[in-house]
Amino acid sequence: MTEELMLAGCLKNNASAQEALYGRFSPRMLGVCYRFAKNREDAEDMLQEGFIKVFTQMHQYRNEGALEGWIRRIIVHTCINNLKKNKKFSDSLDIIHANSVHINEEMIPSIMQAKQVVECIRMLPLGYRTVLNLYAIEGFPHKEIAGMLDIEESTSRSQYTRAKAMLEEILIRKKIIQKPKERTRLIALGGQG
Amino acid sequence: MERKFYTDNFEQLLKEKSDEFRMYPSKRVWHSIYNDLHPGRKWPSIAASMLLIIALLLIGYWNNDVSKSSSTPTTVIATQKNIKNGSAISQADAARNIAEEETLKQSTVANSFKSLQQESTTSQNTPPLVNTTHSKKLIRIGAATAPQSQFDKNEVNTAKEVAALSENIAKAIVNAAINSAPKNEAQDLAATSNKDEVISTITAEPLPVNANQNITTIITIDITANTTSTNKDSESAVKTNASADKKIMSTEDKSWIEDYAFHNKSKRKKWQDRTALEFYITPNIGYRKLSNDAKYNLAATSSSFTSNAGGGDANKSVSQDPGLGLEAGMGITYSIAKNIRVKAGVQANYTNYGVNASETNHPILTTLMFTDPTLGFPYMQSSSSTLANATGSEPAKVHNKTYQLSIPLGVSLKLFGNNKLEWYAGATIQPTFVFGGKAYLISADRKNYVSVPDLISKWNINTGIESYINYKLNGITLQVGPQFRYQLFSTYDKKYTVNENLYNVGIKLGILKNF
Repeated sequence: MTEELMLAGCLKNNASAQEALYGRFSPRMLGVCYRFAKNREDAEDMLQEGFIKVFTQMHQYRNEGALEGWIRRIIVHTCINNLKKNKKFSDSLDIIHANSVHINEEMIPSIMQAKQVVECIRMLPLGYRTVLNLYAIEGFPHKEIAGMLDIEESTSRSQYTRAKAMLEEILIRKKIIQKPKERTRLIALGGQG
Repeated sequence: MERKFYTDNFEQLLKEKSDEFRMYPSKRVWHSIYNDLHPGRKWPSIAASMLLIIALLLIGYWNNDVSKSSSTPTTVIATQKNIKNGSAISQADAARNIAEEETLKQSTVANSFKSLQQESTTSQNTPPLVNTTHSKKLIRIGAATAPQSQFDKNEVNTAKEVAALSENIAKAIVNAAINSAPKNEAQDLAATSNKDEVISTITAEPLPVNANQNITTIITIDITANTTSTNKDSESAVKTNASADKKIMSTEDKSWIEDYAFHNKSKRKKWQDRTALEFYITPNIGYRKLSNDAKYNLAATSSSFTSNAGGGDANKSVSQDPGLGLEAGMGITYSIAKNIRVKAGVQANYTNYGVNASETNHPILTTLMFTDPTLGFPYMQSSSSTLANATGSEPAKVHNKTYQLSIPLGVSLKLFGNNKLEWYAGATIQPTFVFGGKAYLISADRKNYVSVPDLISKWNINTGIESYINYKLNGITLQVGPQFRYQLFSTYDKKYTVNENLYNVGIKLGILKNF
């Protein structure tokens, strides 16, 4: 089914078209949710909520960009809203809290590279992980992240810098990467948004 | 990879890797979405589920019959597949393998569960014929039944025979595994693994077997897929030492079991999405409709004391005003279809209207007209009153009130709706218990009011119609709209010759929260 047909069907609330669209985009979108969520169950709940929004707000899609990008944006916002409902989330945005996090190496399975990277990202404290996901992967600027998470822009930048450093540490410990000679240069790259 | 990590932009690398990552949601997610989008179409899926369950039960029943009739059980439970990617693989392979692993898990859950059940049963009865030293990872790929002829010999006594038998079974299992795997995976499996090597990794430790015992064999195979990487640069990047691998394997055992448990546990129930708790309050203006009882009029025409009774239209004989009333309640609403909700709850009501009277200087003897409920004959009951139904020198305002508890049962129809706003029209019927109140009743001659609260009926039925707007806000729904409530039966005992039906018009203010 072509994208146009799926869109037209979804606008008519056609179940087949909705299922086709869901089938096409849900694996990648669940991957997005999984990076934000605490576990797979939460990720699936986020996905469910996100896709319901996608289908009910389909009439707002104006064909001005890629459909996947539009869906992804809705899914990401759903994830953030979901996280914000959790009281612990605001605490996790506290930098001091994250400094004491212990990295448990055994939690990282060495199965696939992509999965390894995602699992390493998921090892970061919730606040770090969220900012890193939004900035480095989803491409939101720090200003927008600050608005989404109700934090200062400077906090978003510093969270990201620390998140990146911690992720690097995890990747080195897991021997996915080697310790860089120019490590300071890498860290300095962070926070440019 | 590491070179890329340090030369390219950090964010780009993360984005690339993360975008490659895919996970396959369980079917329940789509079913939940579907039910949310098409709430009226759940019945076909329920019917299909019922058919499936019945079919499974029948198959299970027939299979049990077959196994009972067989004198020599020959089930061989297979197996475990452990594909270890010891060397690096390309990024595309990585993404595809994740997809395959997820698909594989889903497609083999039933077989795995069956295997686990049989394995536990077998361990109590018979020691395993073949053990493996590499059974760490639990990705079970199917069950195979060995040829009957190989088990027909009831004299499998020697280790040599058992070993030979094991090899044959292992070959059958490997073939079955390749055949039962999805097409892509089967190709990979066939291409990347040597069947002979696989079979040779089985370390058979045959134990003496009593020929009369049931022979149930559990074979666990460690298939070490010697994948060849096309990306030699990245080969060193994913080296893992054996001890770390073992730890990870055991973690994965656990995660597989958790994953299995997760996929088989009950999902959030559908009724929770459809059910909401409702709290509301309805300030209103209440009044009454008075009418003469038909029995009384009939009786009065043939009565000798019609002159004393006075009679006449009660509405025109009295001066009364509407009063402020209040309803407050809570209930549960349930969406039975996309546009229809039913509800039930409990509601407290306060009804009130004013009576314009005047104080008399002294108590006056007056009468109330009643009708015998069984015979239909009117009779009078004397009473005293200090309230006159007339404007006097000392005007007095009294109130007829009731305090009620009712159980509204209703249905609402959505007339219009989008994501934020919904417009409903609904109706309720409310069995009502009246537990208190004040009643100033007009006398038979319409000249006085007599306080007789005992005449208020304890039970009544009210109806309500309403129309309201729902506004969804941060997980709750605010509700506002007009409501009309009407009391079907007279407020007072049916022997009283004037019927009073209360009604009110109010504004309902409510809040709904989904479970």
